[in-house]
Amino acid sequence: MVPRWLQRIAVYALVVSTGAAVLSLEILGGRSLQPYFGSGLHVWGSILSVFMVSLAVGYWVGGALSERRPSLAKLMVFPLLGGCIIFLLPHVYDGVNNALFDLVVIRWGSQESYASLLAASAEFLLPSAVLGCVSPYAVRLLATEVATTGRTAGNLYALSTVGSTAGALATSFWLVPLLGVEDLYRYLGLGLVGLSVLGLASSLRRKRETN
Amino acid sequence: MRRTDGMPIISIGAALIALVLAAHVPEAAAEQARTLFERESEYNHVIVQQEGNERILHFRRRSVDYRETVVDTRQPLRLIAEWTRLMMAGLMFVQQPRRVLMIGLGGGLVTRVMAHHYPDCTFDNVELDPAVVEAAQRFFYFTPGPRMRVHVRDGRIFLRQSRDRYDIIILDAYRGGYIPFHLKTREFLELVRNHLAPGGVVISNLHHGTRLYDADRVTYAAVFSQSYAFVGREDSNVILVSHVGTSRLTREQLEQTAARLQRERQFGFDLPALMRHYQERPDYDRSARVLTDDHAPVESLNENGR
Repeated sequence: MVPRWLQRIAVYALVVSTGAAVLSLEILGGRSLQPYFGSGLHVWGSILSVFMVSLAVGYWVGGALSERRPSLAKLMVFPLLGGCIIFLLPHVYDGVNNALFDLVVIRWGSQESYASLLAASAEFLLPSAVLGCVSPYAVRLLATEVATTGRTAGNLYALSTVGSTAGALATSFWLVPLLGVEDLYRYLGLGLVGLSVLGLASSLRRKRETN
Repeated sequence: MRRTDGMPIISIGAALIALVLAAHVPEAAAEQARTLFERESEYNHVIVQQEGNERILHFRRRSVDYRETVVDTRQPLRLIAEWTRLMMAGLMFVQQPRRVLMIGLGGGLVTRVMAHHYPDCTFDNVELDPAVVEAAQRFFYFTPGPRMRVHVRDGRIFLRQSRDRYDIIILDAYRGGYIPFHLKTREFLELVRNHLAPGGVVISNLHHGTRLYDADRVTYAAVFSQSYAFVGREDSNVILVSHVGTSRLTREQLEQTAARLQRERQFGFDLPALMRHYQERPDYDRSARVLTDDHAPVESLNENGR
């Protein structure tokens, strides 16, 4: 098995990173929707509500999955999957946004706000839900006894939120002006994939050593 | 620039000074300026004030009031603000405009004055903020009708949906000192270009105070083969007239056209005099990077002086 201290550090690092990734993705999402659906408040409303729904789903699914023989290796699957989806987003969102605009606004004659809500759902429900699975799963991995579970959960929530703060600030203050939107999606995806591969490799190596 | 204090904010220090000034100005100005309308809408803090004969539409942002429209209530067709006069330079480039599109209504002064001199022309005004449309109608003599239509929409969304082509497209969608980035990128300007009728021109209100100006000019040059800059002296406004095609009008041709139009149309403003603002030599850094939907750091560019 992975030693407890290493597992603890790996889980904390992952929780901070996914917290940062979620907020970074949220800001990128708003930025990349604006050229297609305008700068009305509805773009941010769409983004925020879609992220809240998907985080709710993610927390629920992550909690449920944590009951089935949890392991650090399995935890790493969430950022791996999320990272892959985020990496692919800049290759598809232009087509998705244009198609939804044509369908909802031009064909149906409806408001662009509904088109932006559909676009936000199509692009961000899945990756943010997958990333949302991390927190409850991480609580299960680190919790050792009932008496300290609340403390463990509190620590993880705090770390995740600190990560989110850093992600939001870094993305909006420096990264979008520096790198642009499309490359930032790719780096974010690659970062999550890299982190999870690292985590997977170390936990599998440890497993082999103990066998 | 449309900042009423006329001071470009470059550093935090200057911003603080402006903040202090702005905090003190209302007291001093209260004697002359009378507030007729004030509303915090979904998009802007809209203020209409009367100072003597001048009725002013302000958008307040970060405690600074940005002038969007100035109208003389005794002569409502007069173009007091320099940038509104400079916009009329675009008329030199189009022989007989039939359709005009304005993105960013403000008080509706520019299209109202154009409509007065071109009675056969129809106008589409696109404005995101319903409070601005209300202020234009109540305080700036703006009257919508079949020739003067108003569309409460985002300018880019309107163009994306529209199949119409225009002889003149005016871009003036300011939101208190800045233009939203999606109305500045190459992709947006290509959309604008695709809605120009043959021989049509785009009239854009830019500011030359910051590095954003270099990026703006490079982006326009990437989309339009010809651009003519009319540089303001009272503020940092530059009115850029752009079109496609290889033929470029000479200064002499423009001067002749301006003189002829002035005789034919009897403008209340002096069209030939605008040629004094014509800047033939490119006045921007050509190595700046084109603004795109992907990469448009308009906020940080706008904070850096040139």
